[in-house]
Amino acid sequence: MLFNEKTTETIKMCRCCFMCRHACPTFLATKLDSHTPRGYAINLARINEGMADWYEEGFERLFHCSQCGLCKELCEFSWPEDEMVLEGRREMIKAGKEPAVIKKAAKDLMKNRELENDMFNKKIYDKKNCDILYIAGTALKNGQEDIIRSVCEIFENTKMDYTMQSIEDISGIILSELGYTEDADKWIKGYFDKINALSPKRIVVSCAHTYDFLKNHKNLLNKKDITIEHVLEIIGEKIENEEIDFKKEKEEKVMYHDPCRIGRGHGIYDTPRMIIEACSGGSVVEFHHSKDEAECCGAGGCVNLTYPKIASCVAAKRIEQAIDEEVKTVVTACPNCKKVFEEAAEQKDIDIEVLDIAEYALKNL
Amino acid sequence: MNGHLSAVRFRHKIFKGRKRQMQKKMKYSEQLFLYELRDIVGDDNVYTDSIEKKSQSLDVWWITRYTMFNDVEIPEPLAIVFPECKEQVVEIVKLCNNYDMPVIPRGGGAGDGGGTLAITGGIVVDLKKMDKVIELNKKSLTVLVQPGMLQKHLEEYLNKHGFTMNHFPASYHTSAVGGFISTNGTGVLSSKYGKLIDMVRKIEVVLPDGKLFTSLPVSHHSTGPDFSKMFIGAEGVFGIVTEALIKVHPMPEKRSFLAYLLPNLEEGIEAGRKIMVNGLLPCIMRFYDEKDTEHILTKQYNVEGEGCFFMVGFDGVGSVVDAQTSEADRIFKEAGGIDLGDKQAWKWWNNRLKSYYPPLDYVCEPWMTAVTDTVASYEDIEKVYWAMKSAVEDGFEKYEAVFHAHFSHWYDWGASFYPTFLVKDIPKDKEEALDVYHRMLSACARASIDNGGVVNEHHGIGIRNGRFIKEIYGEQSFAMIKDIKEAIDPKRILNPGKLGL
Repeated sequence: MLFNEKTTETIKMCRCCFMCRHACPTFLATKLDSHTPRGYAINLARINEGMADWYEEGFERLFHCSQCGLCKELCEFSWPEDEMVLEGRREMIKAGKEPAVIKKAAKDLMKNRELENDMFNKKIYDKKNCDILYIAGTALKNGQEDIIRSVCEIFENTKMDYTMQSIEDISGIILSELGYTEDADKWIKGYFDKINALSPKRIVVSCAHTYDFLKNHKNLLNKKDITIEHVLEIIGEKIENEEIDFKKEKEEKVMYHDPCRIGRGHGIYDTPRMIIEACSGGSVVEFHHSKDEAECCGAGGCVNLTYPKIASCVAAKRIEQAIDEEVKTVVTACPNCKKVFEEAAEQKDIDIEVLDIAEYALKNL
Repeated sequence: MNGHLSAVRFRHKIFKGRKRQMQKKMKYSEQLFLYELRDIVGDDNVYTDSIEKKSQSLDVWWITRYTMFNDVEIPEPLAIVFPECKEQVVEIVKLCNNYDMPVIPRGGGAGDGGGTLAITGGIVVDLKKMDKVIELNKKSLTVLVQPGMLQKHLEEYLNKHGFTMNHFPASYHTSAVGGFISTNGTGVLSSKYGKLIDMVRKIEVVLPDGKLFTSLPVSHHSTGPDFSKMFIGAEGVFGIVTEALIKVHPMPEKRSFLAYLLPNLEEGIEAGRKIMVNGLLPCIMRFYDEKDTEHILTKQYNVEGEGCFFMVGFDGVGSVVDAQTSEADRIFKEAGGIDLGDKQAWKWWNNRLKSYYPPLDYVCEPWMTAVTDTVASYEDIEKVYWAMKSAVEDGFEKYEAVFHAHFSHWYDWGASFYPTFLVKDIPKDKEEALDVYHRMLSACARASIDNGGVVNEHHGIGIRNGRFIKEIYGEQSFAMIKDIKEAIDPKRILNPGKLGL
């Protein structure tokens, strides 16, 4: 057997089971059986038992899985199909048989690791012992300056002591999601050394992927009482302490998309809704499946980076619900979700505005 | 090709497994065909890669599991095509006629009889991109829906508007409306709400020559035979469903469940019969034999004690439900039933799909298993049960074959039961393993047929039970079915090898 015991067991359990197919966001967009946990398991079983090899056309679909974990969430026995797919990616990469587009993406990431953050006055950057280290993460990588500016303006308005890194490097997080575990492992020490050198009390992020990554590797932070928070948690805290208030000029219908990595990943559902309701004056209009059953935007698992067409199809399926609900504003809390929704809305000519939660809060301050 | 013969050839044709999938050289005519196919649906809707083909080759039939994971070659289609509208389905079928190319319609592909396998080659027409609700009619209580919509998604849509289809089979999460129509499927509430044949008011199909047939706007009429029924349960051999008008119901005011432990099979069947023939109209009736009670219920629901578990439910107007419940309680107690309270029944209802997840479901194990759901009249049903049980357990004692069953769909003239045969220790030799499977299936099915039963009740025939169709109908009746097939599909392009045709 090629795979470890846990993955082999998951493959065995999932290859003949149809029970989560209805929920897989990639399947819902493409309707391919090979885009479902069962489909992945069938073909990984064939590899595992020596009945197939990675050259077969179609194995690239392992990289179309957004790793959203909805399959695991809905499974009665929580079989970790998302981890199974990630293991498949890792083995394919180890064998050197990953698709060319994946190889190129990894090569580009490793070549252009450092993201220069020079939007603001130099005084903001690299300060030691601040209250908050704000990591822009994928907002910086995607060039989403509006999100970064909104967050910083909220910090300024509420007189928070914060800093940012003049150079950010989230390449290892992306490499890890792609399946380049060895390369990610080589990067990780350097990443945490830089954070530890700044010694903040709190780390605040805009990006759900960075949030999830830091939470899962908290043991690598020197300060044991350091907190890792998403920007929306800071905004929520400010609302509860009555440190900020909103205009509430008119009630508007707003939908909130739960990013997988902070929603299903870490149970953050109520705070963003509380923020939106505080701003909009009305209740959040829910997607048909929301909170722990929210479908992925399509950007997860680096699909937006490597197979943007697939990501866009998945995003379109999700964002089309806004038309059904006659909603003009969708708010989310991950720069990747925002990016892929905006692109899908443009391609499908859907008239909606997609805002990050920090942008939405600032707009209504 | 005769369905029986093709099944025989298929099950005895064992190839040596290959480590590397070699690209087969395509004939020029096939290349041309694919070019024309892509012209109809677009490049993004035609797939020829082995990964998708392999993913679709595995349904719930043990044979497809066994052959795939023992590296025995499974017939694959030339291509899988995803039409997005009925017009494309029409063009695809016409194209296939030009090329004498078999067409295999596919919905969820989660049947247990190989019904969507391309055993004679051809293309799979996967209908899952035709997944829209076209219209919900709140006055006539119908929904017009495309065949590729998954049942769960349809039910969620209906619930949002205060309605329900009341169709809750085990494959609720995974199967499509078109597939349920094509196999005349049944859900757990069928005792009150019926099978798909009872739910479909109107149907539209693409015929084997590419013409479109639409049945009359109502289902109850005296305008000649109701030809819509010809396509329900036909498994795609007479036409491809492209639209269906289906009955819906308002959400019930009340639903109540009862659970009892009956002393034995005989008392349970009789209690069930009395409930049905006295018109109590239960929405659900679920009765487990001793082995099933022990196997599923003790392990999953902590039901203790010996006997046979019986669950019954009623739904609708509150006061009517109360009266029905009270009368059912009297009948069960008369039969010696021990009242387990409604907690067990609600637990069953709320967890009814749990046993289909691994590791509880047999499908995750390599064990040899089959479900041979059978339906019979009340005077025959017990006879059929014991005959099938003996055929399996006595006839295959050498393999320690086990037989257990539950009775799940009840009518006022009879009931169906859901027997499973199971062999855990499969012969190592592949030829022997396949031989044992087919002999056991034959023994089980023939025990039913010989004692007045009909195989199947709701899973469909596919390839698996095709060889019994002639026996079930008799030679002359089967000849009429074959004549219809030959008249409607002289080139035999629609789903060849299925339904015994």
